[in-house]
Amino acid sequence: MNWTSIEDLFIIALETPPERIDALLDSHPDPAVSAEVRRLLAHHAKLSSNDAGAGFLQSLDRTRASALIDASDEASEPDRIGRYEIVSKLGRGATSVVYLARDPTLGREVAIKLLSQSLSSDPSAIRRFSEEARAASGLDHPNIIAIYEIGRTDDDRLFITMAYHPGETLRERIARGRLEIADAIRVGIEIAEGLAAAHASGIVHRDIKPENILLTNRGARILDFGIAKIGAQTLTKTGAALGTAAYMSPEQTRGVGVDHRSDIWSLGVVLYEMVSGVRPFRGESGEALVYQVRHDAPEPIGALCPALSAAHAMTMMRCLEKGSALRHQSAADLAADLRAHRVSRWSPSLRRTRIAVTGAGVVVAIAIFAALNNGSPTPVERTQQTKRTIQDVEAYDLYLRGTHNWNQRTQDRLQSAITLFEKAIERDPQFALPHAALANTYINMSNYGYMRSDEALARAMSAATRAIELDPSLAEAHASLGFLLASSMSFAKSEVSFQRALQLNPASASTHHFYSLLLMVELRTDEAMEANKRALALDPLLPVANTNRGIILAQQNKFDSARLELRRSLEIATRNPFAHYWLGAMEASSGRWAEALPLLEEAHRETPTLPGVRPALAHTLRRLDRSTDADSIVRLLERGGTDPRSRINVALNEAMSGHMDSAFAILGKARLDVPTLIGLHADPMLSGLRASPGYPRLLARLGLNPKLAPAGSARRLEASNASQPARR
Amino acid sequence: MPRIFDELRELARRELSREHDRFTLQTTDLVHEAYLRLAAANGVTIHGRAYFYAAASQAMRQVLIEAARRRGAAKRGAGATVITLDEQTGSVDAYGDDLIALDQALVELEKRNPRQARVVECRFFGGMTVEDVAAALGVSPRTVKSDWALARAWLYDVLRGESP
Repeated sequence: MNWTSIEDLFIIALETPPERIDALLDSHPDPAVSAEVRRLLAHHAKLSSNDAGAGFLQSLDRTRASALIDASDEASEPDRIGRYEIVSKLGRGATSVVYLARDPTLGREVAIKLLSQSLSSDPSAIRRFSEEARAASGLDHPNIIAIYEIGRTDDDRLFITMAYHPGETLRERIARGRLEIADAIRVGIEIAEGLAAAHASGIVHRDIKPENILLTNRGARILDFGIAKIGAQTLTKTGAALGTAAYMSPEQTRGVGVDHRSDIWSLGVVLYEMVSGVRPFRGESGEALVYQVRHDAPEPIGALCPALSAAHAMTMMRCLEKGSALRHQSAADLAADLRAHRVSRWSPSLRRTRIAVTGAGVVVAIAIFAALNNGSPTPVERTQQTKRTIQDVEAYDLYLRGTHNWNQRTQDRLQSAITLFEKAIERDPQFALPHAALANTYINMSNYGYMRSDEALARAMSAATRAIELDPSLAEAHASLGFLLASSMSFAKSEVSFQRALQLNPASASTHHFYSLLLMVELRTDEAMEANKRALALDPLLPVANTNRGIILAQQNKFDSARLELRRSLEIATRNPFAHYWLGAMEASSGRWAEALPLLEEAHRETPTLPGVRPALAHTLRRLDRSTDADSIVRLLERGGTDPRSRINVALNEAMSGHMDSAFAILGKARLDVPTLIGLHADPMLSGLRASPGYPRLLARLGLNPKLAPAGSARRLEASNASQPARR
Repeated sequence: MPRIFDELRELARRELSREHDRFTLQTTDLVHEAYLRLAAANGVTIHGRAYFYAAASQAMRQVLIEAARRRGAAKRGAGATVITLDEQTGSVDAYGDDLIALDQALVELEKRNPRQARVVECRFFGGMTVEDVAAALGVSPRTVKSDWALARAWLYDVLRGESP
């Protein structure tokens, strides 16, 4: 059968009215050809309709394609590392892969940890690492995995050779469920003894966590002595260390005064997780987590694990004292304390609030105290604290898994978070926390441009509203609602929500930060600065607040200070599209196009739909005589269709090209959001837009006071337009 | 050109690697992005943007197929126990197998009409628009549309093997 005949007949059929197709096919001399074309036409009709199959070959599944690349990287194993022959892979972490290998010289099996390329090429990291590993290699204790050797591969990657013991990590064990109390105590004692030996040699582990504890048939063994430090520091720089922050002591989060008692804290977190199945601190973001570690008292372990003896509960809670002077002063003391009460006995817990039996089975109610102060809450204090009742442990678990995904902030993790929160809600529709978390996740989806902003904000709004219906005392939900009301230009209502959130919890850095955004939109710049200062006083490292401080300074025309702040915020969190954009915009508006370009490109890589990013990048490329590239960017932004963010960027592109009327015409019809309005008020690339008469008209139409507009803006409404909204 | 093609493959890999999935790029953006970066790296404007996109699409196909093959070989190979420390996400292997099947079908389609295979490559692996594909292949958008319709129907027939 000739393909050309099939092609010809197929193309003619495509252009033939449906009622005449049968006749066309029947009249073809070759029945095999017409049968083939008939089948292809049927497929074509199916693929062109909206039925199942319409997605066939429509686009690459980026998530799965990425996972495939990752999986295949894992599949390409080296045959040998140094003189060692690789037997199999044991596991993979964020910055390393661990192999089981054979040492041909000594004929023994070893575990080899191969560090990633990036970790292997930082000279100061290598020096630190080598010094510590040398010290650690002298450790010889049954509860510590001995280090044999440090080496370099032919392609210059660092590797560490360790004793090999078959077993599973404590992380894998916990993933199957909480440990029996007696087992948990035994593991705790063994780790404490290993730590005591290391501490006696002056070595602090710094990264005790379930991933670094191996359970073997001859007891628990601590992994990675002397290795942790380099890994943790490098990771923190890229923001990937959020997961491990859960085990960091308060002094570690500050980076000062870390000694052996920091390991005792971390072991306390591990003990807590072993017996309860959850971590004492589970902030919804890295910043929140660090805040909780520093300031919040964990929920008493006795409330989560009623079968735990009071003495063991007290021992564990003592490890989690914020001040290291209040903890056990040595790991040996801790081991002795755990050992003294080794036999577990049931102890009625006063903290368990309710156990109910329903038709569906046993429903355990757990009270979670969002403690604002250190120390365990007294009954009097407790009434002042937010209390949430969890009806369904499964729902709570889904919620926790959701927040874990949410912390990662990548598109697929945010999608997973949404799925998990929705499942939690499905299991327990009355449970307020996942509704509030869902609202925040959709706000992120909108801000990072992972979803159409209007759709994301609408979903966030319904989730936040529902959360408040279920639990009117949930401060975070009121703050989210405040942000969403500002996004829909309901500024007065937004103010009310923020006041409510601040009243419910005056100590939330993120609420003050959100509130400062409303104040910026309302051109209440000095007040915004005050709110920002309060956020930073509560959490000096909150990256969004640090970045926002820079933007407020830009709004006050203090560009030198703004630059300094934004640079500083990039040191705290390197992935920071807002900081990259604003720094780039300031360079570009001063005519330093070459300096602006890499900053804008970085912002574009991070989140291309951020208001101003594509227009400013195109404008900058044009100034650098790269108009083909500029055109390519403009095409990208025009391709966005009806997405509000795309329309806004089209408008901003018009503005940066000097077409103010056209810019305002589009802005007048577009659905504006918070980042966009802040950009209109403060973006140095848009000073021309602010100087034109359309700007005060737009402000007036939104109910904002043009007289508060920054210096250099047109502030007066023209007489003819003053009494009526701008119309085009 | 061969060097640029190597760079394209590297870009495609990097764009798809997990460290980079924080970027919100769609495949279309990815190719634009690759173009911008490569143009910047070489300090010149590459002529024939559409042609470049077509090359990038081809690079993307190769990188993915190699990954799928490598993954498949490892999966069916030694049988060593691999402990994945990360959460499992979806059936990546099935997707890899799908891509290999698509690749084999495209090789077959290439024998019948190479241009139609190119169109699928540009549309599916490169996320290119009909207009860009037309410019890259030097044909009219109308031809691209009918090539796409026929190729897609034929691939559906081969890959899904369903009768109407």
